[in-house]
Amino acid sequence: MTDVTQQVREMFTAQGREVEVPPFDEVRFRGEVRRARSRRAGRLAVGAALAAGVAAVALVAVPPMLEGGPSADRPDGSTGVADAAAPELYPGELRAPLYYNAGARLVAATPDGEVHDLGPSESVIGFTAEGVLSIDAENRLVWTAALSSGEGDGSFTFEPGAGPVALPTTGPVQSAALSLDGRYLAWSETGDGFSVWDLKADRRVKEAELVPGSSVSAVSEQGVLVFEEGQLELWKREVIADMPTDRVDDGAISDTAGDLVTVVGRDDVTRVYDVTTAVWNDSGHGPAKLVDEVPGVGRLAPYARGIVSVDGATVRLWPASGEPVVLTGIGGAPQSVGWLDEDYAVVTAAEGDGIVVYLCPVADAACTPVAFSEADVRLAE
Amino acid sequence: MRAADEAEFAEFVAARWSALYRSAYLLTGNRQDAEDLLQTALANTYVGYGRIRDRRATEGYVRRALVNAASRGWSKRGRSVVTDVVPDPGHDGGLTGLADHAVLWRAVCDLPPRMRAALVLRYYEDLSEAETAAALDCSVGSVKSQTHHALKRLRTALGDRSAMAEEVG
Repeated sequence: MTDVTQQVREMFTAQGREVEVPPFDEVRFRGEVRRARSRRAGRLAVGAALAAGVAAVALVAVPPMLEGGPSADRPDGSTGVADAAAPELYPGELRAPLYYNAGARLVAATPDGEVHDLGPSESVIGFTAEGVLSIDAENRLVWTAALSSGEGDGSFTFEPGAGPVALPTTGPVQSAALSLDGRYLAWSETGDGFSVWDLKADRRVKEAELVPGSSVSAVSEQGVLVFEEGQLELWKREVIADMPTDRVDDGAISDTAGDLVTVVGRDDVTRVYDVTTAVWNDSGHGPAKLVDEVPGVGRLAPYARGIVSVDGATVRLWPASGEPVVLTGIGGAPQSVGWLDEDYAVVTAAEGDGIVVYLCPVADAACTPVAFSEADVRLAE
Repeated sequence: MRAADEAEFAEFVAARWSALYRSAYLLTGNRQDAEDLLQTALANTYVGYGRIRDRRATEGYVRRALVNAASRGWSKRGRSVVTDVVPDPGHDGGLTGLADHAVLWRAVCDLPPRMRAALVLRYYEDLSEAETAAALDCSVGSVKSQTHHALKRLRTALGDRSAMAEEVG
């Protein structure tokens, strides 16, 4: 018998040669790109035509990748804003720094109109009144403290590496989440377990082992939202609430706050679960209760006071009770949504030759442009 | 993405789709998972394409994304791997090459994802131990260990096959 390594080589070569290779599915690829942008940004990114949800139009508008390349400079095929200049900005509407990733840099837009480059960053995990938590190029968590001038002029200075408390982990992390109220930090260093730290009390409050390859997605006082073995679960203090859906990708956009969990399915529908109503079995698992479905990609507000969603070209606010409201004042093609705090939603839109960041007060649903970037903008995860 | 980048990426996909798919298939053991995995890896690379300075390294980025996802046990239908076409091992009861391939392939598919990825990188992609370690984001020692244990399992599987053949014979 020949050496097993040689047999393995021959077997791999044979298997690789014999497998039937399917043709490249470009339509599906465009869908994957949308999901990839959503994951990267922690938000939805939809090309203008695709975002309209009209497949036939999209196929015409999006330059075919394998048929001679694009015919226009704008890959989303949009025309209405192609030559538009960036709108006038009103950063004074901000009451606190707004953090986002512009390309691979962490950026803070402040009420005085300044845009601060805070250094290399892979993603913004979250922020509090005291600063921003991001992941650097080496996958390490980094606090950057925000210090107000105290003069009421809206100016801030920033101190990378400083934060409200010393971070409980200093090495690379595979995934991390900061609760929407800024109190709890959850992270996984190796993908086979997680830890939760109470930043207010400065102590560990939970740790658990997971199946290798798992990741933490969000955290709140209710528990830690975890992707494990293709399932989305909320690990509470003693029990685990399962989101009973099979239309979720690992790493899909998901939030938890108050009694709710939201998760965006592969069908671009945001499902809302109540995690207080599960009936627990002997192994401590129980299904969460589906209580609502929101079209498009939705992000849950701090304290679960509502959801902001982008569905094609329409951005809506879904209050905890009452009818949804369409946000107005957004030019260009909406790309992603998020929250500054429970009173202000944030929307990004492709406009001119860049991305405009809009601030949208819940009180009147009228959005105001507050920042502009020529690079790809990704809001906090 | 700029028009030139779009065209360049399209050209890359057209040229490398088949080869990348074969690698994805060996990593997942399943044709559907292979396509899912490759589509996702390509989409992620496409989204970050503007930040790849050396475009000759694009394939490396895609392959790394494939390996990283596969070695985490990636599957859109959970982590259970169902091999879809197992070659007919033949009916002569002997240890033909085809029969060994079938046994080996099934055994490879039963390996933990990281072990399987190490084997694919070492014996299909022909990467060195150091290159495999870099692709898997682990130490060379870990690669040696994963490979050693994987091959041990495969030898056991082949041994079982031999023993079974002898019994039948």
